[in-house]
Amino acid sequence: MIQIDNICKSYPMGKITVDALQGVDLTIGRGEYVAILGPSGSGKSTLMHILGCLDTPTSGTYSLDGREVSGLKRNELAEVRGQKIGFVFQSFNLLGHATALENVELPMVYGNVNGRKRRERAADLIKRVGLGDRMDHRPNELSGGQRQRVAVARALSNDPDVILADEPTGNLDTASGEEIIALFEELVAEGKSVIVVTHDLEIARRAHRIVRLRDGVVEEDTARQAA
Amino acid sequence: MIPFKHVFKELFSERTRILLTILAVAWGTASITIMLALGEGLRLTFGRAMNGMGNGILVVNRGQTSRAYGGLPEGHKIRLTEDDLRAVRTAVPEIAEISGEYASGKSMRTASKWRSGRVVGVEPAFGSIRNVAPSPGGRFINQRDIERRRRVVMLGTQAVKELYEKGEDPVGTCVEIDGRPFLVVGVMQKKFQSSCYGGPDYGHVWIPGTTYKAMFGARDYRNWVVKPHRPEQMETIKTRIREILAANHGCDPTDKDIVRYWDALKMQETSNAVFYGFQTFLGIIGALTLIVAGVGIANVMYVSVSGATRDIGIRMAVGAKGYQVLTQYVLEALAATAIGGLVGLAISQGVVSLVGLIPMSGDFFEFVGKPVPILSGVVAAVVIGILGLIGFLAGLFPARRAAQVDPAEALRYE
Repeated sequence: MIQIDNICKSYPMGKITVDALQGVDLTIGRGEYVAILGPSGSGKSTLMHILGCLDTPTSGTYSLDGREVSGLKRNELAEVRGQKIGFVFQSFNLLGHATALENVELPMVYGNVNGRKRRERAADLIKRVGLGDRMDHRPNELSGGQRQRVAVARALSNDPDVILADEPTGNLDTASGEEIIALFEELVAEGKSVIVVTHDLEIARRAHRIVRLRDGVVEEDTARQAA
Repeated sequence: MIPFKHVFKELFSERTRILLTILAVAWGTASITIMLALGEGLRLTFGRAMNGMGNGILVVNRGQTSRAYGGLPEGHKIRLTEDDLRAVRTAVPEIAEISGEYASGKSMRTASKWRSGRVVGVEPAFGSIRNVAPSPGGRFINQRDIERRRRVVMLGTQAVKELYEKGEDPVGTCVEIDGRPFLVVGVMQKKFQSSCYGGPDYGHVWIPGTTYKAMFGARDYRNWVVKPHRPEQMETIKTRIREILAANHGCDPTDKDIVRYWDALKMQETSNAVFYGFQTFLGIIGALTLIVAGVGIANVMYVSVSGATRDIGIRMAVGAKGYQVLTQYVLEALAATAIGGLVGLAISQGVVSLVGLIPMSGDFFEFVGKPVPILSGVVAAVVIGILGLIGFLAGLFPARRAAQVDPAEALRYE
């Protein structure tokens, strides 16, 4: 599903160049539930941006679902993001002035799904995450846990193969966080690959595999015995 | 492509921003259209009033020699005689219509009222040259009146007011001029007139030239009125008339003072130029206002793009391509401009209608007519075009910035 080889990423910060990733190799299969764990500054955000096609590596190759994406242009990357990847962010990143339903529709707007089908699917997804009675609420009318569930529904709207979650429970209380993790587990059971980027070992332990990142390299890659 | 509905939703989600933008455009549109409409209204009103004396006509007045020539002393008056008129009529083909004009002040009387005013002896062509037309139910002087020296008269509107009771129809009644009875055959149609000689036409009465000559014993014309076939023939006509008069009266054909011309065409051109200048001036002010409004839109859009960086990042993260974000912002700007433009046009249409309702009375408006502003289609089209361009440009630059947002960068800091 995902195969990256010897990925390096460096960017200038003032006068010096920061090498955020220094040769990362990683292969993630379909239906895998992987946690990328590391302290801040370990390069995990950079890795997530590259895995999510929000950024391109300085060197190395990245093959997503059999397609080489490391050299794609901006618009091509946008297309890949729209079709293959669903994002869940720590701070939800919902459009503040749009309703829950409209937020879930958004990826389909850009994916050229026609209006009626779009609304139907968005409504189904919102019901699926348990917010059927909150469709017309705006984010500021929802609790943190509800917002994150809207974000999960949005991530699923184009039926992507990979869900990329960046500290998805970072801003949530334990109970809400648990709901999100439970959703992820459901998705994995359905055959989607879920990648959770976190510095929280408790969250990471729920995944089937933990990749520890430190100073821009993979320090440890361990699979748990049983799900 | 992003659906329009989506854009509109976005648009109305930021009410303050959109209200400010619409306000700016509406203000610009309203000011430019109102100014141009006022200018257009003034120009048309005065243009029509200018034609009130006749459209592009030449008034020929008698002059006098400015130097001695061939036995004639300096200051010798050159009269406009019947022979002169006949000669001009046959020898100057550039003239479409010409009429001699006798005139003097006379007393007039009906059964109950009395007035004194200008009585003008004319030919049938006078009516069309000088835009003196009869109201329905009446007629102007005709050729038979001339041939038979009929005692018939057409009355100006002011003369009617002074000689008849309100609501009374003068046609068919009798008016005594200098004690002699004349049959009223017509009443002048009301018109607006900005220039005249011997007073505005509404105070005049017209009788056949031949009748005038026979009854009041005029030896020569007060003046002639001439209308050329085409405006550019005016100079030729002036030269030819002077040459004919010089030959008939034995004076120097190069002496410019033997005949005095009043070229209404030239006057009209001058005044048109003044009005176009006026309108250009108003248009420039309006355009500047619109540009200021455009800068306002661009500013508002720019700020909104800066404030929406994270939203743009979100859109891009879920698959929006650069051009889709660009299109969205351009469409937003265009939609805001369009709404503002419509509001502005509606406001100016309202103002124009209101001005039309203001009662304007008094001699001045009686004489030249009421300047009603006109919101012409051309003005509206030009304004809409300019607005569209401004909206597009004002949206384009901020939108290009939006399209270049780096999604990773936009989402990194939370």
